Amino acid sequence: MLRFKLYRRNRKIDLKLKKIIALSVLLTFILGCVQSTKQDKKEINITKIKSLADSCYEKNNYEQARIYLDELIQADSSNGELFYKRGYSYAQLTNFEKSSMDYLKAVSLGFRVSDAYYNLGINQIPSLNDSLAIYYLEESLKLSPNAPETISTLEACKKRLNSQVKDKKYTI
Amino acid sequence: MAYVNFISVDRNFVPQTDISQTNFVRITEAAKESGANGGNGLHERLYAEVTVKQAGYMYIYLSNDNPTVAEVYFDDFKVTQIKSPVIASNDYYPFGLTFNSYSRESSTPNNYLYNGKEIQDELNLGIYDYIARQYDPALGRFLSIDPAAGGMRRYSPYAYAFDNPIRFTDPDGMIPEESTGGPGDDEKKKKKKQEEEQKKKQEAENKAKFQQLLATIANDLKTKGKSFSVTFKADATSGNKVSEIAKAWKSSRDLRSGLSTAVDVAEVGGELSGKYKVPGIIGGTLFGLQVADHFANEEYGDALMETGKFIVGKAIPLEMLMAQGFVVVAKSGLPEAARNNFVAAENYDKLAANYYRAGDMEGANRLMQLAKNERNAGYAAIQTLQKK
Repeated sequence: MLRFKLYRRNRKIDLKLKKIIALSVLLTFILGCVQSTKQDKKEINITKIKSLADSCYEKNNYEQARIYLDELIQADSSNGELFYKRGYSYAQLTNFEKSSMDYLKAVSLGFRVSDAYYNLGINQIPSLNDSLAIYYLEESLKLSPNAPETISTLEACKKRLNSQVKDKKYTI
Repeated sequence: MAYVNFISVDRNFVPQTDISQTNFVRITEAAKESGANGGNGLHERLYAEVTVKQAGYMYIYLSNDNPTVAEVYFDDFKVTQIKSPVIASNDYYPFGLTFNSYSRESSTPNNYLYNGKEIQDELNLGIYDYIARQYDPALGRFLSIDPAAGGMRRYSPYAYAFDNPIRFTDPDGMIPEESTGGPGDDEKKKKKKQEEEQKKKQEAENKAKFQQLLATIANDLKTKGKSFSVTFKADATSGNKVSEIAKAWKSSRDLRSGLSTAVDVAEVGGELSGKYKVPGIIGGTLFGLQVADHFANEEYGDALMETGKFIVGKAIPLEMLMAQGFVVVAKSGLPEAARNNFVAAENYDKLAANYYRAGDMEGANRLMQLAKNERNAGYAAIQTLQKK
């Protein structure tokens, strides 16, 4: 009799345990689903923002493109293309300091390195920094040695620097 | 026989064998007691005048070398030194270290030595004051870095005259200069002449290029520009006519009259002369007049450069057609043009500051506006140059 009672009690505990396990499995499944939909949503969002950014970029709406690119870079900071595009957008918005920083990042991530260096060289024009321009243009020329615009710009910079040394047009 | 002898030696005690430097004066019969002056108590004066040609020493002595004993009395022996006009002399190694230095005793020392720079000898370091820096001739190096080092990246900031004092001098410790008056001057002149000729050639090429460009545009306008209802005379692109228009435009600076004369001669000339000045039509692209200016002054390279500033995206279709042609040819000059804009803007800013200090607010504002315009033009050019 005692054994029967014990058996029944054990069975009850087993049933309870089974229910708990089933519930927890269900919960985990539901949570997983929610999580994955969230991730999917995020990915869909990123793709959408990317297409928006691209379309703004192509339509020369650089202010808006920059905003989208900011968001994209927050989500993925290992994409050189995003930095390059944001650098170009900044340049079009005449913010050459930020533009240069983005181009440098694009260079370090290996995206269109030669073009990024060329643009960096061009970005030095407003600050009249010929030395730095020469450095960037030379770097650009190493990667694409036959680019005529780089060659001519570099030559002009060098010529000017030499004539400055000659004419002593220095301000200290 | 008795003698007054003098032997000259140089600073290294090497005797000078030249008879004007080393010689003797022999006593004659005149000094004999029974000689020509004998008995009257007169002496013979033994006298020699030596012009010393270089710094050194002189050994003067009296001797009596008679084979038989003969007493000779010398008295009133005197050496008089008349100093030469040379007070000091120095020889220099290329980097300025001295050797063979001579300076007359008790003379005021001359501190302005190598290249006329003052030697700083208070601590016996032998360094020269080169205005911006101190220079040590023993090392051939300056003791501090060049304040203008940024402009000479290939050389050490401590180097003197690009490490080539034969060719360069460094008058103020800042930027070495090529020395003049040397044997290479003729070559330099020749080179300069060649450069000038090259420049002339380049300018002629630019002119041809510019006119070729005008012809291409004329053709384009003829073929593609019909939709914009443009009447155009083919011969209008000849240099003279465009130049005349440009000159007329430059002198009058009046858009309407300029156009009225321009339109029947050449649309291209008209476009160049001032249509770009019209605000609203092309959204502030103001370079046409500058192109005309350069054209009138026969500065074809600059004219090409200015045309490079046309921004395709902002121009209306007719101008676009022109601008496209210009941009292709003149893009190479665009960075230079942009830079010129920024330099001009900086100058305007400086001038504006002067006006501001002088209390001329109106002038200052006007100049600041000009600076802003220049900067905007520069920005536009840079934006065009960037690779998308």
